[in-house]
Amino acid sequence: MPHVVVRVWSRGVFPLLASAVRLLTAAAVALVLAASTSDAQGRRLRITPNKNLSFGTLFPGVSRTVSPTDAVGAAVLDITGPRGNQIEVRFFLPRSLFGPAGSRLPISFTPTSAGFSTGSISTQIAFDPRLPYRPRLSRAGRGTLYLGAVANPGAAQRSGNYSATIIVIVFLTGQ
Amino acid sequence: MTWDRRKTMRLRGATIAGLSIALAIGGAPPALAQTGTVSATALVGMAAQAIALRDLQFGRVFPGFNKTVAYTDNIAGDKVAGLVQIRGVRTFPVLVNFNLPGQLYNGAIALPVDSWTACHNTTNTTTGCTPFTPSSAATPMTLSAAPPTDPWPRIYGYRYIFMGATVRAPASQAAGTYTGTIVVNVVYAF
Repeated sequence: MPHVVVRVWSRGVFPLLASAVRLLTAAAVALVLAASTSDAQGRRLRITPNKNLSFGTLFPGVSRTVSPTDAVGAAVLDITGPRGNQIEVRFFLPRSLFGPAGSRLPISFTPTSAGFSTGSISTQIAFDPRLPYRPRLSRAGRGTLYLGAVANPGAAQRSGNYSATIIVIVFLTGQ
Repeated sequence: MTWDRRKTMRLRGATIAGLSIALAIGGAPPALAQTGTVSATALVGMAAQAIALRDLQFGRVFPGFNKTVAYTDNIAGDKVAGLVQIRGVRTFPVLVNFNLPGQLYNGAIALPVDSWTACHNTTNTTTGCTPFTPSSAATPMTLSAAPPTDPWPRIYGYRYIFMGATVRAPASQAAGTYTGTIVVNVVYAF
């Protein structure tokens, strides 16, 4: 939306609001940065984290798998963008969750730990989150990523809360 | 040039600069990235544990005689049943199995022990306990709700196991103190 700001200045009716307009100009740049992934359709590519990946309560020595089809445990990220466009998805995955006093809880991912759907969670197509994946957004410009994982607490795993951050990058491939 | 005009010029310049940046970025190819993050979280509960509260004691045994300690016995210096506390998350199911010695030892000299008996309860009493035969096969049990006497946050549940057995001393049994080890294994029953 930067052209909105330009139109304001062509009228030249806000000289007494100079400082405010400087802020608006800066805001315009910020808005442009935010809109920089728009395509010719003017529809911005956006990824919205909807739900974290949750293993719930684990016990030492007992592994737990969260499937991407697990409505309670799987992470969910909504993607909107240009209608019908192909995107590339890349996950940056941790090897461990971090807990009390530097404790680590190993986690792993399998070839079917992630899923992509343009419909519901039950219609997702599984993919390997360790590899780049190229799905296509729906005709409405929507898609949803689902992510599960396997937690492998050791027999002497320290009790407490563990967490880590998963980063997802989505590109428009231009195809 | 009036103040307003000068101000407008300066501001217009600033706006044009802003627009230039905007166009330069807006004109980039559409293959730019968007980034999102989610957290992965887990809560690790405590492991189920077996804690020896009291050894199984046969007291004095004489050559040529058998001696049995019942799981209800608690006669200090004579016959005392073994007592093990199982501790874990309250109300969780567990599986308990045992590695039981077939003999007690005094150095290399053995004293046979067999006929193991046991009883488990959610409280530390044999009254109303559930008898079972301890073995290497898993015995399912359920941990108690947290007793009100437990300190905050009252997440532990318990199960108490009382154990007895019989030693069989042949007439030639050498005098001495004989000992052995009972191994109790406990896991959550998921």
